[in-house]
Amino acid sequence: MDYKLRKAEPRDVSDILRLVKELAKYEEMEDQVTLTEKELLEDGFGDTPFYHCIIAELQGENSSDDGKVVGFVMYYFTYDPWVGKQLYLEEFYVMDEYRGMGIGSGLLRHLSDLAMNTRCTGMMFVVAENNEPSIQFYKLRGAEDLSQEEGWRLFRFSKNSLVKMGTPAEE
Amino acid sequence: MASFILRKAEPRDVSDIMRLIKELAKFEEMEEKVVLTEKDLLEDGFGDHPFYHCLVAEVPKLQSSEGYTVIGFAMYYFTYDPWIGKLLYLEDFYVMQEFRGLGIGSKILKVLSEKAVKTRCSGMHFLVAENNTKSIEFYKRRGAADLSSEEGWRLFEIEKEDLLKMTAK
Repeated sequence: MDYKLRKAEPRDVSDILRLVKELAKYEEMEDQVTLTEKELLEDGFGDTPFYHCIIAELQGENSSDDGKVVGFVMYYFTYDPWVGKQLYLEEFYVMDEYRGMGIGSGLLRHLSDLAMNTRCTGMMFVVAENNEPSIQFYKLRGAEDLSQEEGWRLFRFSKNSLVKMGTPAEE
Repeated sequence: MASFILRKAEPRDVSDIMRLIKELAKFEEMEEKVVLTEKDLLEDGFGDHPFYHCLVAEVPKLQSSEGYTVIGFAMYYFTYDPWIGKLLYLEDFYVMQEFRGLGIGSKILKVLSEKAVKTRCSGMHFLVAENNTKSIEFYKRRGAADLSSEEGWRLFEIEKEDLLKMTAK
């Protein structure tokens, strides 16, 4: 079974949402996905894209599977004030039945090329501490756990907190 | 009584931004890790495609003992959460020691919150070092949740030399 990697296009948003939900399900947080296809379209394919996606698509002789989207990465560029541009890997998922074929490694290699071509100094991402297979996958390729080594913790202000902190709306 | 203004950073501010980045890195005991230059900051923040945005806090010249007028800043950019959409990511946030306790930090956070809501962000994310209790308290008082504690997220990094190794295969 062969596959190809390509930049996502507007027509891919329903597959992207499907895979986002599958990955959320794997992380046992499926009900937290409130994003819609419309938002994915506006946010990824408008004047200012807020994210980019690479799609893994099957290229088989079996016509029923040909063109099936079986994996993806979602990424964007961030900025580290000590070293400069970074590639931030937000989502990375290959459907269960298509694992072990090198698609994941292929996606990561593609991202590494991209990071080098865009003069990024590194790639960052978060992993859940109980996700052993993923931690191993990344550590095998040289990833370092900055939370462990440098004590960084990820914090969030929800929208409610932001509204509370902002100027109250005029009556 | 100190008066201050907050404004969008301009190209002329890059040397002050660099100075404050280094001061904050020194506070985190990681000053030697700052390899970025003013030239990088200029190209990356004020070119065709800005990779970051900055808010700077400025005081009147007479108020500052060493003559600096830019005495605080916040560096941020927009990220994307595939479950809820756009986020404002707070990358660096620093007010010089002698200007703390005057409400400058709170004001910066307020302006950023308004910016986030106005640009239809679903939230604001940022990192804090686990031993930085003062900052953790500052944020928790304003409603911040520790996602590393609550959801077990750990930050990983693959550095350039390991990325290069992967490209060769």
